[in-house]
Amino acid sequence: MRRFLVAALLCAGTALTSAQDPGLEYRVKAAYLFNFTKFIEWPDAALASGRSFSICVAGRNPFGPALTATLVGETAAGLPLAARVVNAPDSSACHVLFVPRGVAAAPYLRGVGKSPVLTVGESPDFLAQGGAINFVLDGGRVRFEINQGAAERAQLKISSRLLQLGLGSEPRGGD
Amino acid sequence: MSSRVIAVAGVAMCLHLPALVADARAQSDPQDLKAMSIEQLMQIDVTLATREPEPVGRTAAAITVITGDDIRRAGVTTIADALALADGVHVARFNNGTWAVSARGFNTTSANKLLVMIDGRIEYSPLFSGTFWNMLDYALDDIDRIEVIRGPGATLWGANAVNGVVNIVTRHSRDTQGTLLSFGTGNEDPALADFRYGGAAADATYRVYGKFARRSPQIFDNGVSSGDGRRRGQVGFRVDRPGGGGEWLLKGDLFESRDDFADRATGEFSEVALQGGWSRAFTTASNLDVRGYYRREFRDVPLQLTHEIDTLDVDLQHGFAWRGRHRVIWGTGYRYNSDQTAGGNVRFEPPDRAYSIFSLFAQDEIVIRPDRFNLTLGLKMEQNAFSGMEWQPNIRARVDVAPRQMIWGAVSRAVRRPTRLDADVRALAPDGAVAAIGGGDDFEGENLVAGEFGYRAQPFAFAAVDATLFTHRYDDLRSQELPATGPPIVVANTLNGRTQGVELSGSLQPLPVWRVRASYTYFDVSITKDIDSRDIGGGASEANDPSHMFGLRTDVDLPGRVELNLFLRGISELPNPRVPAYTELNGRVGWRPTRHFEVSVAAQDLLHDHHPEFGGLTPRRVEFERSVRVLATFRY
Repeated sequence: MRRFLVAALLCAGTALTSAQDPGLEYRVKAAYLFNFTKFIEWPDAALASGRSFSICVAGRNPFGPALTATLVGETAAGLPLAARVVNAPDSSACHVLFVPRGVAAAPYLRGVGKSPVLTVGESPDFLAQGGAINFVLDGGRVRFEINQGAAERAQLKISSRLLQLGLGSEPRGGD
Repeated sequence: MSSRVIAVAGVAMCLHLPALVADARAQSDPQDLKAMSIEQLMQIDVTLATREPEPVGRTAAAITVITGDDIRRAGVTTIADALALADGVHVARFNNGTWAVSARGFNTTSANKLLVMIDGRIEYSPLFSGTFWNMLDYALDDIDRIEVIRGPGATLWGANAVNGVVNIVTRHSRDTQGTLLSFGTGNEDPALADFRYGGAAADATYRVYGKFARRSPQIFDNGVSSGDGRRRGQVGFRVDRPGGGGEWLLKGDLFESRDDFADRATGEFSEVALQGGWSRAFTTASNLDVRGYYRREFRDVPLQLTHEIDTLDVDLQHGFAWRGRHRVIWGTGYRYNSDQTAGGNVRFEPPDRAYSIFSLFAQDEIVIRPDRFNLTLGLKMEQNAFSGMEWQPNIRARVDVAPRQMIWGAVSRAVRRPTRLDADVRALAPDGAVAAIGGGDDFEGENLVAGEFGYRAQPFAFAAVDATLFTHRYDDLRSQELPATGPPIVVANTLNGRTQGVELSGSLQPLPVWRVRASYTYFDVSITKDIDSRDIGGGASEANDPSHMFGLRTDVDLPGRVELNLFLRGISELPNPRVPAYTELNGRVGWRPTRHFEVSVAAQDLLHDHHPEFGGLTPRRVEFERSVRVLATFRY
């Protein structure tokens, strides 16, 4: 264990000058995004075309290194997961598109159109604008709400288990 | 492999994969987090120990979080009984309407060293700084979680957070949309009913709820009914609405109960509370909360005491980041109490009194080495009408010794401030003579200096252990002095106490559908007198604690949407007055054929026909009977 400590300490040493702490909120959201891929089915066409399963972040990256750290070595639908930042509203090559707070969602949602892209946001009106899943902070805990219609338009099948865990669905937890 | 090789490998990893390891915590945490289920992710948060959301695994305090799901699975009908699920908390029933609840000792039916709150509103009585547990109720289905901290949390939470803090957090009204109807009946609980409707209007969400419960009398040692039946009901609402860049909260609750007694007429107990607040998070590191509430407590115990207390409270709290390494929280609060009493054998002089408390606190959490070492310094100043200014400092440190292991330590001072019961009481003997009088202005606060040390590890996503060692030194504990001139007894501060203990808990999730949680607490107390003390109580009225407690809980989700929950708890003998050791078992089987319907059978105290939990062996010691009830719940 002491050996472990040495390594961790050295790592921490290099951390001081590098990227800011993305905060637990985004580490949790990164874990959610990874988890979502296990409860949602993408149409075969969306999976046949690519070499990787792309989780895109629109505009700016609030995750710091946490999203990459979460996805490294993992797969979804048999494809290796990869994270990247996209700036063009046409993000139809993404499998998941996360639109952070402060980034205007409308152009991205228009760009995605009916392509099989799971759009995830974190703004109060994200679902109303046509997004599929929206993160909500509930007393410091990260929860999410689902717009099933938007997911269906994108040809995505959301498992009933995930639907039940979304806000406003009963019963909560443990089911 | 030599340590040098590993160290070099570590450096290489850091250098070559900067995006992955730029932040050591970002490296380790996502690994922990992504192994979690969505349900587990949804639980990450605790607002208590640092008054800021922080994952429980990293909090530098001895803490247990009882989730709403834990409460549902426990099948209990009161908040006090739910607290038995927390590690290291001694919950003992004295009769149907009276509990003794404490952490780290000093348990009595009027235990006064626990700070109890619901959504930040105090729920202990200003009259004696203890909780009337028969008046603390809520729609249990609408409780999000109960955070229980053992040990002093006084810097942030104020006086009375001496031995622990119980923070009950109700669910956001957004999470309680739709209709809930629940009906139950059982041999000891003939009627249980809960109703809730949650809706939305414009951008606001709200809920209204109501509940009613009847409890049958228990029995005395000789098998005769103890005559302590109860009927209690509560109604209330909660509204949440975004506004001003933040969120508004408005909440109101009305409680009423009628509790029977074997030796006198029925007592009446009621509480009304109205609470409002506004909170805004500017960034993840900066927030502002403003909160206020009004609460009225009314109690009438025939032949003993009738009192009502109005409390008005306003609080402000502001948190911000400073120079990158500091997370500062400061706050201030003002509370005004006004009471009226009319006594039987317990009276107060003066009968009516108004008194206020002003407080100011600040805390700085300093990152000494990112992801390695955090230090928290805090100080609370409190001005109260009885003992004047009290200072409550606190220093905490947390060291992440390895990715999934941390140690923490804390030294804190806390004060249990004087109350009307200490200063102004007049207790009458059966013949009407005054038997005891309060200490007046001479009574000081009770002081605690506590040292704590903890270790917490989660070697695998499915297993966690938590260990805490503590030593508490109490000064100026309440005593009962018999003056040289003879009775009456005078309440004073001539006792001192020393407690120490070990609190262990572990949880294991061998399968996704099977969780096991075990806890053990060892506790030792010694109470001594000052040299000039003329105390005749020896602390017997202040503490009656078990040396050993254990709990073992298992929750299994069986096929066919069936849940099986068992909770075994053991409490060793209480010394003075003596209560025999006991082990008891609660069990519940629930079935949820659809998401709209749930039916369950819950049993409490399965191992004995009846057993006592608190109070001396007199013909009037209440024993609690085995109880079984059926509950049906509809949600849509």
